[in-house]
Amino acid sequence: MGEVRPRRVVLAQCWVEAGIDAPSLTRDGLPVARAVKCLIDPLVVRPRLRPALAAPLLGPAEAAELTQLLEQHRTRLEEASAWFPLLRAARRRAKITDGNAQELYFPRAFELASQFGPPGADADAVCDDVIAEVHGEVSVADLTLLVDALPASPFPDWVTVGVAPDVATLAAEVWELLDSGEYLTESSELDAWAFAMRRESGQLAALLDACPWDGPVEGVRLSAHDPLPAPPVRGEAACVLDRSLESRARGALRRSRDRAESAADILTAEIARAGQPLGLHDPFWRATFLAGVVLSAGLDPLQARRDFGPVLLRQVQSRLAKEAYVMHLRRLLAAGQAIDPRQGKVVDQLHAFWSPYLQRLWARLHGLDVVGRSPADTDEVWDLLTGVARSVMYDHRQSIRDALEAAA
Amino acid sequence: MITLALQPRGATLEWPLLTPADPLLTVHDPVEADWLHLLIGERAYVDLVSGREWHPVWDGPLAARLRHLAFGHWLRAWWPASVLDGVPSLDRPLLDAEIARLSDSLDEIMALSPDEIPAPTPLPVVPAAAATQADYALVAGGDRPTPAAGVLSGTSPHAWQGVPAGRVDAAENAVTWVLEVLDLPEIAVAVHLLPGAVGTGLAVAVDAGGAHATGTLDAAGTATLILPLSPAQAWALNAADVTVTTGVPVAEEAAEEGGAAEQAPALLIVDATQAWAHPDYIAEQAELLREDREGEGVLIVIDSLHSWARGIEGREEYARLELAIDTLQRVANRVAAPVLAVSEQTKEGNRQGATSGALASAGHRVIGYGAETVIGLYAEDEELDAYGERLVTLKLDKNRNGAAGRSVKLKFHGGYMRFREA
Repeated sequence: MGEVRPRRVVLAQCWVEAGIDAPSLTRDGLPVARAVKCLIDPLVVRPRLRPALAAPLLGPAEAAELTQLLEQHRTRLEEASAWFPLLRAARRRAKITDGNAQELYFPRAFELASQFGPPGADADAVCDDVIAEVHGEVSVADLTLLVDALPASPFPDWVTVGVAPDVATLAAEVWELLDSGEYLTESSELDAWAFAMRRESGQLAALLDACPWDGPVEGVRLSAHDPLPAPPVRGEAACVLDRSLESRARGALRRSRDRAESAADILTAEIARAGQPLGLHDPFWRATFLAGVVLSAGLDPLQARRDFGPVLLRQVQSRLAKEAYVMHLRRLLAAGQAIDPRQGKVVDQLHAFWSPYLQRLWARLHGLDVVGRSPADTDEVWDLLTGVARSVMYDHRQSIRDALEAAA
Repeated sequence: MITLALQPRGATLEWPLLTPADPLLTVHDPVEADWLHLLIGERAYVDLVSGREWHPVWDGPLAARLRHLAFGHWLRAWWPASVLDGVPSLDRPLLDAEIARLSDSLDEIMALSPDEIPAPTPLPVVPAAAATQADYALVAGGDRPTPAAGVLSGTSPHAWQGVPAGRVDAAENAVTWVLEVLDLPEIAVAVHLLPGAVGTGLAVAVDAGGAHATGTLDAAGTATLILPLSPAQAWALNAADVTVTTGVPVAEEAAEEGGAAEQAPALLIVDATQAWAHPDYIAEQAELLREDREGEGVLIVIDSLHSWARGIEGREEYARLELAIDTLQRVANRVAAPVLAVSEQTKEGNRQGATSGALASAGHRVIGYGAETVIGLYAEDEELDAYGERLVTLKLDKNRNGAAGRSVKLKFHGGYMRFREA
């Protein structure tokens, strides 16, 4: 192995060597961050197929492979780069300002290049369609009709007789996943525990108590009710497992839009999924969600010096605390409180970080479950658990800022 | 200590506002911070990712651009605009446009970070608005509201950290109050808002003669609170008895620090690295300081013992140290004040000291014999934690006046030169 260099630097060199004629390097001579994240990595490099090329440091052998890979995709990348400004023009025509144009359209531009080659005479019309599709709302009319036709309680077998869960073993499994990140298996204990939640109260508290830590935050819950009732057919819910069938099916419909499944199939699949432990099919995503539950019970961003628990918890907490500290430096918060009465609600949410965290984590896992993906390895699980914490924090920061600007 | 902060992708950077310094870098995730080699050098980045010891070689111009952006964010939050003190407000759209443009030029580093500003395209053109009074803050500065007559009136300072940016005038006397005694004592508080700002909902609290009242400001920044006092008690109040607090109460921490500072002795610090000071001069200065502080305790600090000892001529190092300690002991006796002499240990001595408590070199043995008390600071690890601090153990290696061997775990922040208990 020769000398290793930062991945970004190598990527920039390979890009130049592959002779790709597309304006993708910044003034610092590096590929545009979003081009890497949204296009080159997921669609060209595909780290799951080529883990060696995804490492943060690359040697000469990997550099050669990367150059070759980019050369293979040269034409398509150049065509995608021609499609991108047309998509952006279509976005302007549609007067859309939501979301980040690079994030939304880089992958689309690549798809268009694969499908049509270089943009032709009808390119503007094609782009208008893509924009309408990206920003369009899912049609939920037929879904609503189907949901109306459901029986009042579509889960006749919600509560079943089963074995009592071994909470100590389950806690140890989750802890191990959060501490070393080396252990992820199908857990029969998890399923037993999730079914027991429907029969007896206090299961979540028992699990959190069985973890060897001091001071998880108060009030963590997965449902407004204990024992856990079957999900309602429709409506909005404050707790993550109380999410209605209708909203679950709507989420699934959004995910599987391209797959031309009928709304009826999706609803049937969703009823089956909702009957599964924690509302997820894939046992690995169930384990991920449960790890997220334990993780979030230890998170308190406004508490600067919490330092306990498994490795991942410490990492996430220290990062969140740093974010909160910067908000304090920016006068967005004062002494861990809202600095303006209008921020009160968001700041309360920061104190109960588990709530938005679990909502978002479950929605993301549900989406992956719908498209039938499983985690590739525990690294992906850790990335997911950390990434969700980060996005929740960004959202909060934005709302805190917005509340302040609105008040000014 | 005023700190600028910036959160690029995967890391946090901090700088002190007033002194030029390299950034204080906290890396949250080296892989996510895939731009970091630009700032700290490729070598350091490779070492960092590989989990080896790493030493940043700062890219000065890039660090300056990042600091500039952090400064923009700081201005947005803390610029002390004040009509009363004649500090004009910053032009907000212009500042925002400048921050957006800077962020955009640093897109490679700021993209997908918490501090990313969605770049408006094209960048906003700031319209030349008609001039308002605020634009002439410098000449309008003399225009102060005259407090209405009442039984008692006064002004109160407000804690900056407790009120949102751009709302309250930053002047010391921005909060005025008037006490009226009708059937019940009533205190009218008026907060001087910045032009165009709305005060609605900001908390206000009044403490007067043991009575406490709270409320919220209205849009104009005023509130009237009833004090739970009898009219007679209210008539007996002095202006000094009345404290008005606006916003979130944040002053307590500072007040506590002030309390601790008052208990601490007056420090006489001899910076021997710059020049040698004669023992008579040190003693004299200590006496003067004591007089000045009206009998408070004085602590003489010699920074450092070795550099001060170098001023004693004509002997070899070992004997010089011996003589230096002897001289300092006499100074201490003469002015009846303790002397704290700072000394460094070699890495070798540090390691031995940390394990056995024994002092390593011959020089240190001399110090050990001569001193009443030896307090050792031992760096436990070189690694910085998430707060940019490292663990340091303070150990009482020798104590002639009590038990030795006790230790306290401390966290040391190199950027702020600050210790705190771990």
